[in-house]
Amino acid sequence: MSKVLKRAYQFLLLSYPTVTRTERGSVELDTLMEVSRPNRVLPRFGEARAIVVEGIRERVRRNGGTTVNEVMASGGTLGVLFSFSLQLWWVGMMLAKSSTMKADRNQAGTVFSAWGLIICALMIWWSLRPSRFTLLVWQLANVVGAIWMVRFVRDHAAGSNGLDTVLIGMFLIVSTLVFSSGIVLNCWSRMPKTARHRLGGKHAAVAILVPMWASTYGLKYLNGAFSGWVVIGLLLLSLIDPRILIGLSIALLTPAVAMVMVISTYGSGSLSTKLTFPGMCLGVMVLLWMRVRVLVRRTLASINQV
Amino acid sequence: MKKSDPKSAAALSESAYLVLAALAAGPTHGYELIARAREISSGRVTLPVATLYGTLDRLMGRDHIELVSEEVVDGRARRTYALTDGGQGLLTDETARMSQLVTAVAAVQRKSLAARSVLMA
Repeated sequence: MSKVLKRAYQFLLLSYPTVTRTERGSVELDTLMEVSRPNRVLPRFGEARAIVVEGIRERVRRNGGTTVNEVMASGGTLGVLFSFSLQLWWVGMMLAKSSTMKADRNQAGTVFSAWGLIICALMIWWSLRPSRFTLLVWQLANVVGAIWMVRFVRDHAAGSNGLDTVLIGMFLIVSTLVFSSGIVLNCWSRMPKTARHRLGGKHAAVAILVPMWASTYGLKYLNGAFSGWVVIGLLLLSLIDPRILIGLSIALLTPAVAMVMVISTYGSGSLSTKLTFPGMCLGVMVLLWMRVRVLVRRTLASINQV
Repeated sequence: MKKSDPKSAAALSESAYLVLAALAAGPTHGYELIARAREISSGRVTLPVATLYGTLDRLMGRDHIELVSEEVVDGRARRTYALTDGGQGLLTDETARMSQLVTAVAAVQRKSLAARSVLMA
């Protein structure tokens, strides 16, 4: 009976980094066994949750050398590299006066989603074992992904339709409001006290949900089939380390925005769309960067509290 | 008394405060610390083991507590921790800060009650 309980605790302790398990795993396990009642078969829910949460906090703390700025810069670098190679392709095609230069968002989306999965895997690896080498591999994979993508999209014709443009426009306006003016956030503070308490952690929710929404919307715009998986993946990643989420969101959001820009510029669309889209996208990117940086910093500060 | 450091005082969580308070009674091990913390909080707080060891690690990292001994009792590994001078100072500062806060809030409440009773009269 207690063997089952011990195994359950050992399994839960796997949420800790190996170093921590080596340092204090046996002492903690023995104390857990000592504290639990003799007839207990499985860990209490509260105890199990505390072990997993502490394990995640410990993982975040162990990676303390990687700052939010570094992660954001890496995510941005990836995104810019990806977007730049994409733009270069179309410029090259335009200069060559090719008749097959239009983008196909379905084909592009498949490759983009595959690229998203590669970034997810590399992001976890890099976050848990940050080094120059993994960063280099990550960036190389990005370039390879970009080449792969342009190969897939080069021969397909498509353009954005009216509904997508309206939805993206609405998203840009709402996210700009949320991140810049604070109007939306201030609405919460006027709610009754109990309701506000129930909605606690609104800043964390905004920090996590909005970039996630932006990234997944970008993916959905390109290919809906993979967006569900990406949402699940991002939620799981946010449990491991908020820095993974922010780096990932930026790495995905930048090329997604670039794709929208490319399709709206080179595909069908009105002149006003072509002119306003790039500016709006850039503005939102800057706002996201500024706002999320502060929120993630606050979250990390609370994690590192004694 | 040493002047309190607002930064360190503000960064002390309830679990860290309870661990420091429990160790003020003398060096002890994890299981006993949980019992002492429960006693100090009048049964309100039962520190989860994972939270306790995480807190102990962080407090040790900041030299507020120290590992006194490590032994095996009845086949179970036990580590005994003790408060350092720094930890004692932090506990004193935090207690003073909270007492000050309690006094201030009590004064505000007294004033509010007095004002209400005047209005009722």
